[in-house]
Amino acid sequence: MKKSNFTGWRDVFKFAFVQDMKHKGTIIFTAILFAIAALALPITSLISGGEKEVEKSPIKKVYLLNESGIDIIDALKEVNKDTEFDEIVYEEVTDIEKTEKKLDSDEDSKKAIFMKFSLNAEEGCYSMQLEYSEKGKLDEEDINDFSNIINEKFPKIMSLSLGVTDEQMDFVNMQVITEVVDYTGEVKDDSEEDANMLDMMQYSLLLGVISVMAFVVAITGSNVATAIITEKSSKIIEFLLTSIKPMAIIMGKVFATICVVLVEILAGIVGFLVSFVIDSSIRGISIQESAKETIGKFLSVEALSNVSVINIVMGIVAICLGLMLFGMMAGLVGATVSKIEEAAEGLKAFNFAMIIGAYITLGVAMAGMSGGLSETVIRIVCMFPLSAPFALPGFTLIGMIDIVSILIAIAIILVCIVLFTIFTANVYEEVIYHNGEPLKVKDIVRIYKSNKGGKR
Amino acid sequence: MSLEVKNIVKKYGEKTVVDNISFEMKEPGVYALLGTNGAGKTTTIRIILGMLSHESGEVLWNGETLDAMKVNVGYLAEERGLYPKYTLMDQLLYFAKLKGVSKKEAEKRIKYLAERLKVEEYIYPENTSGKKGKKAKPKTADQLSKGNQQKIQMLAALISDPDIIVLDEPLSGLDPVNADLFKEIIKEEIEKNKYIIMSSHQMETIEAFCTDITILNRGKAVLQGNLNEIKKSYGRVNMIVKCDVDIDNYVNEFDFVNVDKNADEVCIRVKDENQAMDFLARLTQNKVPVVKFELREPSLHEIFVEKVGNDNEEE
Repeated sequence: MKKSNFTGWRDVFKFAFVQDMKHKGTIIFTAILFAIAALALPITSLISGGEKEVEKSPIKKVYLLNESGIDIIDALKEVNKDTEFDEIVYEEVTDIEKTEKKLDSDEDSKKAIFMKFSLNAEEGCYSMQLEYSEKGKLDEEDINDFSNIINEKFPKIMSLSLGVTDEQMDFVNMQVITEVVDYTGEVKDDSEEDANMLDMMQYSLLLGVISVMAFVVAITGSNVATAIITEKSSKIIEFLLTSIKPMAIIMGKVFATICVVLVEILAGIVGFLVSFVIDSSIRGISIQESAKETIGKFLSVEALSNVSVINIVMGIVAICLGLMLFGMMAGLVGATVSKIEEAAEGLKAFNFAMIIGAYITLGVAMAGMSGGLSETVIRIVCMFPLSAPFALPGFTLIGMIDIVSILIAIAIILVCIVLFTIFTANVYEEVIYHNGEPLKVKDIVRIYKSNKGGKR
Repeated sequence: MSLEVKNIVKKYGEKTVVDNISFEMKEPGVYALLGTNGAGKTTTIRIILGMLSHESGEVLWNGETLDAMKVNVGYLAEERGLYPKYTLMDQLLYFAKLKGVSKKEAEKRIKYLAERLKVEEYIYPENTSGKKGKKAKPKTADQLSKGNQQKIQMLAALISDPDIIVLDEPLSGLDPVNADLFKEIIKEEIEKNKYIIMSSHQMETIEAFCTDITILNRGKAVLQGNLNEIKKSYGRVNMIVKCDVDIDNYVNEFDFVNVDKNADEVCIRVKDENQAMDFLARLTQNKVPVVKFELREPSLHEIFVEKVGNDNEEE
């Protein structure tokens, strides 16, 4: 059977993967990652969780003078359920003078505040005034905390008071897309494209994916390049090339490094799951409650509403292909360097490409936060080979790119990987024997051109 | 079986580093590639092994293009290397796997060659700590001396019991004991009818093993053919004379090609055997007490120096 350029990559993969996993640095890094992830929640709970349980607001009573015409007491109780204000007793009053005197009187009233709530028709707003007695046991900070929570939850308080359901509120808050057309039906307004605006949660998710990808790409690239440089500087490569083609070596190493990084990430995820178990046992709640509470702190249900199995699968495919593309680049870059101490200099071009990709995606995400983000821009950033590994997984997860565009983007990355592989195969053997200063991009292109007519 | 290198040319930009090199091994044996540093020996070897692209020419094994991936080839590179932090057994098994050797067969070969090369103690470390049940830690390459690393690399080159063996400077850096060990291994491979291409600066070794040679200079073959025939073609032009008295006056009477005086003898390059005989006759006529008179063919070292000696700057 004729040996292809890739024959034997599995042997390289197995050897590189096993040796990398046996490496002390990998074991220590994975163990640290696991430990940090596993202990993150329990430590946070021990530091802040316990205090939360006992530290209820010192405000025990609220005298309410309600001149708004809307009954809000039940709504106030409802929104403050399971919070530091859930022990407050509300009492409706009508006499201002009598109530103000009460604040200084008996012990219970010293922990009370006077809340005046009215509708200011002239200015078109609601007015809320909170009074407390300086002779009482409350200070300004306690009142400000209560004021903040009322401000934050005011829309919910009003919707509950007026008997409006969450679903009805969603309908009220829905965005309107206007379209101006002439009688032929031709669209005169591009407001449809401007409708893609990222909310805070989507932006955070996108930012998280970009950060994680940048971290993983940087680690993968550095590891692949280091492995190649080690093989080159220790002169082992010359022996290997009598048994196996360079493409198989790069392929095996790239896959092995990606797998090692994935194992490390997996260790982090498993550690995080373990942290839910530890956290739940410390706080005496179920694992599901612990997970729901923790995830809820960072992501809303709305941000994940477009996540589907297909999106997740496509996202993972995009991540793996992105890592492969950058891994191949790192492999070639590694071959241009002769000494391990020159690795940083050699990796400049790789880091530059990575930073460009990540920053383009970051710029688009920021544009999405501040204003309209056209679908064309999202497609371009997901299809541009350098930014695709950072943009595609995130935009796929939040569902801001359609399946056809995802497939086209994946196809483009695949084509780039193939073209890059052909290019690398042509120059790798020449580059691998290079000794001296790290080669520059123009040197590699020159080698490619001069090798085009050569035979093996 | 035959190995044929036909008109290979390799250029780096405008510079030709291998210029139309050809040679053939019709039967098993050792073929020597000689030349100064930078003459193009390693580049030629890399092209033969298919590791480097080249502008023209071909390398044939049994009439077909030699593909090192398909033909069982063993290679001891000039720039030697092992994975510094991996255990010796791990990397030897990996090299064997890449050569398509089964694990069982590889283990057998490693055992045999480790014994021959006297490196068992590094590959199969024994527990010397005295603690029962404690396994000895396998050695990594960076724990070995340079010579022992070289032995492991020789082991790796022979692990697949190759048909073609390429040895680039196999003895460089070895102490005399280990050099003899390597020579024994090479002899063993010759006896097994292997095709061996060897490059070396140690001319005595080449003379001991090689039947055919090519001397390269700046990428070109300046001399090639059967070593014995090359020597014969020069004739017995090296005359060594040792006398109890000073013979400078007699030497000056003759028009010799070259005269080299050592501590107790004179080495003279003569034009031909007749000139040597005339010189001996002159000495005997004058009753000069001749202790030693030897007439022999030039050594490979002398031929090499003659061919590339004045042009041996490193590239």
